This record gives sequence, structure tokens and C-alpha cells, in this order.
Amino acid sequence: MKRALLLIGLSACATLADGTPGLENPPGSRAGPFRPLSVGELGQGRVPPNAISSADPETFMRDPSIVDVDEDPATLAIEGYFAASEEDAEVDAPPVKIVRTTAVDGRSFERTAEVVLEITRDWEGDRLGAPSVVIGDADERLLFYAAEGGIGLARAASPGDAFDSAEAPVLTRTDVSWASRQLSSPGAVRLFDGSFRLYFETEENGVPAIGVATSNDGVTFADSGAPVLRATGRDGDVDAAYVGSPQAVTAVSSEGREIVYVYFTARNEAEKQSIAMAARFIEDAGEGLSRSGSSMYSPSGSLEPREPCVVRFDSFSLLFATQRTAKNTPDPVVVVAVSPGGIELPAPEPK
Amino acid sequence: MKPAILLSFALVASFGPSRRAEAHEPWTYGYGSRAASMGGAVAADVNDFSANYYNPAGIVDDEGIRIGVGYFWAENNLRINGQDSGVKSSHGVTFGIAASGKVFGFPIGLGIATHIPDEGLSRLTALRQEIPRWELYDNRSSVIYLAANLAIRPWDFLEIGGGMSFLAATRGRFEITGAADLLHPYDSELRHEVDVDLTSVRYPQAGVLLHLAKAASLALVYRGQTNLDLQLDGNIDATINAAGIEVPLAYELQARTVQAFLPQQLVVGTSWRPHHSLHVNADLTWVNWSAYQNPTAKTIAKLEAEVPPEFPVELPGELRQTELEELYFSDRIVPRVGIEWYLPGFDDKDGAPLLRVPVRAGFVYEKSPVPPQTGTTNLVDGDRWTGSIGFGVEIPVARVSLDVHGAVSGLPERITLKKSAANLVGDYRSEGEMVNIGTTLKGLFK
Repeated sequence: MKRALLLIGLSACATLADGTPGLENPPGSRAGPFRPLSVGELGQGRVPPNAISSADPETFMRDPSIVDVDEDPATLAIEGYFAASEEDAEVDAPPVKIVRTTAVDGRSFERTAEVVLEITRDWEGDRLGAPSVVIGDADERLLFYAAEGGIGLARAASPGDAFDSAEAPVLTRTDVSWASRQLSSPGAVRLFDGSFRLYFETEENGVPAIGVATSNDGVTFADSGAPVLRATGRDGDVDAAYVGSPQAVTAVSSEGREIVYVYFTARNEAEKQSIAMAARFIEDAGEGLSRSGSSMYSPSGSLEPREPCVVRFDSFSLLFATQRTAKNTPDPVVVVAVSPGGIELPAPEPK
Repeated sequence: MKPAILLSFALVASFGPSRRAEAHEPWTYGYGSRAASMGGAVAADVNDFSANYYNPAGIVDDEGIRIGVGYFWAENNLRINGQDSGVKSSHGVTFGIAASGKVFGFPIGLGIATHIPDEGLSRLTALRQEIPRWELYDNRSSVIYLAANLAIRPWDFLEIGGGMSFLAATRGRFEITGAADLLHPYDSELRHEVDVDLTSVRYPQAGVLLHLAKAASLALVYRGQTNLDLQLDGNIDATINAAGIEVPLAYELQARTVQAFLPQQLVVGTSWRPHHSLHVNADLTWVNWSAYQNPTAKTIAKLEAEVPPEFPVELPGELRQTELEELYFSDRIVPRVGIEWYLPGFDDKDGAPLLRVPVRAGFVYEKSPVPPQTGTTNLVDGDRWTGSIGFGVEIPVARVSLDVHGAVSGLPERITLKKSAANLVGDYRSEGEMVNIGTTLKGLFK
């Protein structure tokens, strides 16, 4: 048959440029993958995808924990909690405080932040960071955080109140029989029945692992007895070499099945770091998670994203994560990305 | 075909909405208005141009040259989670000839038929296996169908026919060479070469028509399996100039996919004519869907570049081969029934027919061959029923007729629950309707 020159519309091979292949209005869980926000999608004069940068008042704000203020996915107002360093600290200095700021559009944070928690307890040592905030009964804020002696809990009776930290950590290495390293990077979530899950990073026999502890009151936690995720060690897996810094969020499938998604930092055998996800149906017995197997957020270059946090709205989800400013610039920024990637976000406020 | 015309078709093809093709319109919506209005149950009762598709033996069932030309339009309203999936409408022109006579006293027939979609000849898209798509209906309109057949009648009670059907296929290559300047794009000197073949794939078809008595016929029809493959090879060999830093870059891509698949089919058909004005037909079709292959593109891509260390770019590693899921489609048996009744009362005073007005109806039930999509793949489908009606106006004196048909299909709700909570598509429910209308003008020359 005759030959002709033409462009071919092969629009969706895995190797070709992203487009919108397949159906219009395809079903999706809004659990990922996420694409970074681009120009025009972020307000407050910020440069997307950086929701927080070195221009913010506190030093090296990082490790976000995002709370939907009214727990209504139809509205976009959020509170953001971040770890921060001492003023004039070096970039590799540990965080020593938790700060809070807000955004009315779900992503464009105010350029002011207030300190809500600092080191006050002996067990906290000289570091306090990796916040994870959940809303309890009567609008109470429960702030879980990592410190030298384990995972701590600070509580505020209402959103504007000061946080008061507990005298002792709520979970330490000694509470987790299989852990071979101190617990860090808590990720707390409240399930639909009111119970709590506290995911944390540690190691099992030297292998990076994520565990989970359960609680009915958000104060007293018991470990589930085994890691729910471990570095797989398998070639080709995004989480072959490392898993850590988990954060969890609940969702309901379009058929009404309740799900808990756990986002975590993953690293493969080639040291490529990305954000991955695992999940489970809450109706299923046990705490075991199914791994998605692919990266949910994987920026080009060696930006090493970590400490993810996802907030779900009605038609899209936003992922916040800490990463390097650039390949050769270790200063942290908090980036924001959206799923599904093809969505047109509501206009940012203020622009 | 002239290159310029082909190029026009091809450009339409390439810039049209991206969809996949799994078969062709005659199979999905019917071929010719008479058959479409009878649910396609005509394997033992066909002798017009549509015999080229339904039963090649029917080409020699009547004498003379029978020409048909028609047009149909099918609107697809397929939804997932209550939202329109945007599956394109399907429409195009049908044309065919069935000619028969005697050679040295031996009845012989020749036929040719085609369906040409009027939105482009070929539209190709390779999707990742997890991307949701209506696997059996998502844009069949992108394939040309052509059939050529020969039939004989060794005895008055037996007709045998067979031939080949053709579908368009594509093989392509692109190449980009030269130098690109990132800071001054207009200073770039890149040479592009894109080269695509439109080739064809063929599959056999054969049919037997056995007239048991004046009032009854039996038919057996076979259609072969075919794959419509897409091949694409690409090369980029260029130098990128970024602020004075020159980065040599080489990119190689190979993509292979099954763009469309037509399973082999075996039809057993009957036609019963209890009265000269009444035809009652029933067909059963075995469709070998279990041979369906995963159409996901197998892609090999390699990028090589000498990136200076100060350049803030990290090359991706070699693309991992996708692990293709087994699909486990099931064979299916498709029942079809059709009825045709010639209305009385259109004769002249001598009893000769002034007009003949047949009214027709049909029904088809197609059970979905696609298993529940609980894993990675999202090949959306559902059981499909189709009810059809139609009528014709035949003018015996002029030997012309006009047929009209309308059909409605329903795909009842199907709920998909994923095994893994980490599945990124999640649970969904799918359902839909299709409406198909068309007309065919036929003429007989003896």
C-alpha cells in the first residue's frame, strides 16, 4: 500500500509526553499520582510548586502536616503545621519547634506563621519536629511529633489555643518489640469509627520499616505487633532500599468502601527517592497494607522528596512534601502537587 | 490512492480524538439497514450486498447485480460513575456489490463490500493497561473494512462462498536530527522525518447456505481472527545548546501494540418462511474472545546524553518494561433473532405489487467477555442487549428499494470493586446506551 508522510497520534505510550489519553471523566481514586502545581495555580505571590520556601519567616519550614479546618472536603480552608529550625541555623540542624500557618484555598499559605510548640520536656532532647495533626472530639487538635525520646503528643483544646505537650512520649522504641531503632516521623489519622492509627518510622533488624500503633482515645497507643511496610530489597521496586516518614489519610471509595491511604518516603536501589503509597480497606482484618508499587510523586533530579502529607477535597487531592530547593541546593522547600493531574484547580486566593 | 489524499486522511486520523479500536462497525452496529433492523440474524436469509459480511454464500442466492449504498450514525452514551465517558459517535458510509450469473451454465457470484468511516481512515492510540477505556466500543470508527468474496451454487439447494476481509494497519517511524538551542529556539536547526505505512491485514471468511425446503434455510459462516498491529520506531539524534553548554542527546523508541483484535467467529443461522410474506430468523454466534491479547504497548526506550556535571538535570534510567496482565476474556455465544413481514395492501387491481413494504425487528444479547476488572487493568465493558426495528420501501418496477433502521442498545450497570485499596483507579460502576440509525439504498440490475 502506498506510503505517506504524517504525524502519528500515538498519544499515551508510557514513554511519550503526558496527555489526556483514554476516556473523558475517567474514574479515579484521587490517591495519585500527583503533578506539581504550575504557574497560576498558587497564590500569595509564591512560585509554584513551592508552597513554603526560604522566603517564609521561620527558618527552614519543612515536614508539613495539613489539616482540613472544618473536615469538610467541599471547602478548601486548611491549617498547615511545619517543623522549623532555630534562627540562623545551618541547613542540616535539627528542627526545634512546630509552627502553624493557614491557607484559605487549600494551598497558598499566609506568609506569617506562629510558633505553636517548642522544646519544653527533658525527653524531647534537642530536637522536635515531624508534626502530624489530627482533629479530635470537640475540634481539639492533637499534635503528634518526633523528638529524641520517641513520639510525643501535644494537645490544644481549639484551633487557636496553645499546645500543651505531654510529660512523657506516647510511643517509644520500648513499646514496639520488633523495632531496632528509635521511632520517628509519626503519621496519625483518625478513622471513621473514631479510633486512631499512629504510623511511625523505625527499623526492623536494620531494615527500614513502618509500623502502626492503634488507640481508641488518641492518647494511649498499642503497637500492632509487626511492621506494616518494610524496604523490599527487590530490584525495580520504588521502595527497595528505604521506607519512612509515613502520613495517613482516610477516604471512601465511590462504592462506599472506607480506605486508609498511607503515603511515605521511598527509595529504590539506585538511591532515587520518591513518594510512594500503600493502603488498606478499613473493613479488612488486620493492619496490613497493599503497596501501590509505583511512585505517587517523583520529581526529576535529585530533589529527594520526603515527609509527604495529603489532604483530600471533593474533586482533587493535594500532596505536600519537603524536598531540596534544587539538585545542588540542600535548603528545604515544601512543594505542593495535585491529583488528578488533569484537573483545573479553583483560582488561588489571594493571587 | 494518491499520496495527497492519503495524507489528508492521515492527518485527520492523527489529529482526531485519541481512542482505541477493537474491531469494526459492521460487527458492532450491523451492515446495511435490512440486517441491522433484524438484529443481524440474517446468515441464512441474505442475498444483497450485505452477504459479503453476513454470509458470502448469499451472493449467489439471487441473480443480477445488486448494489447497495448506505449511511449509519451510532451515538454512544457510555458512563462511568454517572459521568459521560466521551466515547465518540460512530458513523460512516457502507457500499457493496453482489453480482451473480452463470459461467458455462454454472451459477457463480462475486461480491465486494466496504465500510468507510467518515472521520478518518485510521486513528491509533496506545494506552497504558491501567487507563480506563470501554474496551469493546471505544472508537471502532477508526478502521476501514473491506471484503471481497466469491460464491458458487453447485446444486440448487446449496450455496458456498468465501473470501477475504481487509483492515487497515499502520507502521511508522520518526526521526529528528540536528541542533536545538534552548535559549533561542528559533535558532534551532532540527530536521524531522516521519514515515508511516498504511498496510493491511487480512482474515478469511466462508459461508454455506443450505436450502432445506422452500420455507427453510440453514447457514454456517466462519470469520477468521485477525490482529491489527501498531508499530512505531523513533530516533532523536540531536545536540542541545543550553546557555553555551552543548549536550549531545540520543533517544531511541520502539513501540509495539495490538491496536485492534477481531476474534474468530462461527455462526449457525436458520431462516423459516412459513408464509411468503414472513421471514423468521435466528442465529447463534460463537465468538472466540478467549484469544484476546493484552493490547498494551510494549515499549523499549533508551535515552543517552552527556550531561555536564554543573547542569541541573538528571537523566531517567532505562524505561522498565511493563508487565502485561493476563486478561482472561471468555468466549461467548451471541443469540440473534430477527423477523421480517411484508405488509399487505400495496398491490394494483390485477394483484401485481406496486410497492412492497417490509417491516422488520430484531434482538441481540451479547454477554460481556470481559472478566471483572478487580486488578490493574480497567477494560470497562458490560452485557449488551440490542433491540432494533426498521422498514423498507421496494418499488418492483424500478427495482430499487430504500431501507431504514433504528436500534437501541443497553449496557446495564456493572459494578467494579478493586481487590487492592491502593489501586489508583478505585471502585466504579459503568453503564450506558447506544442508539444507531441508518438507511440503505439498493438497486437491482438484471
